[in-house]
Amino acid sequence: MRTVDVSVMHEMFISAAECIIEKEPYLTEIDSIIGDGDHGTGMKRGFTAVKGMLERNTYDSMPELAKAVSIELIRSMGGASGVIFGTMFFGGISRLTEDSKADISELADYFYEGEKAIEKRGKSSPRQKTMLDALYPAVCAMKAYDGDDAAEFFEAAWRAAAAGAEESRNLISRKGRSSNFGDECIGLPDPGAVSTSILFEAFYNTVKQMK
Amino acid sequence: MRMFNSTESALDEAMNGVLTADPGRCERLETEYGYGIYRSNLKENCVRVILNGGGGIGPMWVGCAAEGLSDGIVHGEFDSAPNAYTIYEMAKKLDAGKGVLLITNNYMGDYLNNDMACELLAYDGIESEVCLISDDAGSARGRSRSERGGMSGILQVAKAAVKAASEGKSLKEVKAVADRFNENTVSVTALYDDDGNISYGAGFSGEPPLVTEEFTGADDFVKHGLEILLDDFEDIPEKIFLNISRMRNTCYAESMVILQSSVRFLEEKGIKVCGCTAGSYFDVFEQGGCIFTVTAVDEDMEAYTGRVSGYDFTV
Repeated sequence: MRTVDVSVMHEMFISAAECIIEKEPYLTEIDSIIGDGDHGTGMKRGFTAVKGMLERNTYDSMPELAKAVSIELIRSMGGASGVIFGTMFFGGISRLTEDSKADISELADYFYEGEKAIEKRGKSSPRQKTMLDALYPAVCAMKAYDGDDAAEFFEAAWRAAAAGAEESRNLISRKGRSSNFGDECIGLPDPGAVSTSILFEAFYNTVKQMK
Repeated sequence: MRMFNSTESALDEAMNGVLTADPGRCERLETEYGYGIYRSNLKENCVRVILNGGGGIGPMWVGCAAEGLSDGIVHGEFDSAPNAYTIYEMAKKLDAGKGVLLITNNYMGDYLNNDMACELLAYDGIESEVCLISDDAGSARGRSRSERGGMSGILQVAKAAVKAASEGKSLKEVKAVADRFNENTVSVTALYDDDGNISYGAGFSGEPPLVTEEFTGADDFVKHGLEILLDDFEDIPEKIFLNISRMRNTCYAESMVILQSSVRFLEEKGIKVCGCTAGSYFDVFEQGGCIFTVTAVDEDMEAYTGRVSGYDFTV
């Protein structure tokens, strides 16, 4: 199936929130070494708020759902991650039509524009050891996907994100607090890239089960 | 161990404590997330100055909602930038029609949330600017000043900006005063450990120090710390304002020893100290030592460096 229904997307966000909450200790551990240690707790706070909001509400259209998730993240999280992950889901909203479902080509454009919006706001680009090192390959994989299956589409995104997060181990940080650590941060993945990979993994697992 | 009921409730309770200690001075901004207080009875027709940053550092930021320091403050959770919405709501609440200057330390999260708050304010037709403080001489080594982080220098910038705003200056003019103070302010951390070692320039998230050496007395400690700061200026300044921010394991008496030693050292070098202060302003390290902050001033700037009395501390 080429389309994703708003009720499925709703489930995808709930499942992504649960996965982030569950992985908080690991995210905190890596961010304490190369960042200021607030990434895990911030992500947990934000996605706990999102989960609560999604469990209380229903959404009629894809843009309405995407906007609600983004704003809740920005409002509740703080830190760099609040704006960055909020922008990930907000930046491409104009690419979603006012509809209760979206075609995967539309979703590819939505996530792609979200990535571009983060680059612009953070004045950053991939290869600087940030979450973009997972998000950029993921959105490229989505744009490149030429099949007709939403689960396969998100699987490609997740695999690209996971590979990108893994590769971020070898990068020297050029952005944020960790840039002061120079070579010392080599060997550890970027916490934001790991979170991005967790989100896409959850998206894929949810869509797969909905088949 | 900290005497909190819980880490989750600590910042909320601390903010209420500050309000309880001095009734009528400030009011709390009502928000679902984030923390903000603003001064009661603000002077009309002035640019508003709002300080913001991560939570849980000395009297930063709650104690800074005081006359001569800021009109309002917003802070995030422990070590985490405040969210853009709370900054936006505070600015909307305080704007008196002349715009709002947001002052924050130059970290990615603070930059992003203040930048987004400005965007939200622009939608509402409220003029705003951000001044990013970059006084930390120990950070972004070998890179440009604009990449440095910020420390206690923000207090010098804040009081200059508030003074400029109270004179009825425009947002552009207030921002220019703030930028000028930021460009002329440098700070360095000077910490000691239990083995008697001193390190200079360490960052507060574990960034390695510039230099480590043995402790040989307060005068040497002061000399080496201030030399790092003086080296950071292109030309040795003629006149400076000095701020010493003591860390959690350093006592009042130590900070006063350091203060008098600092002033003597600077004056022996022919540098005039137009004002100095020591306190636990930015006690971000669970260690002994202090942050030295020096602002180079000329006559125009000196008029903006006066002492400020808050309810529990003086800058």
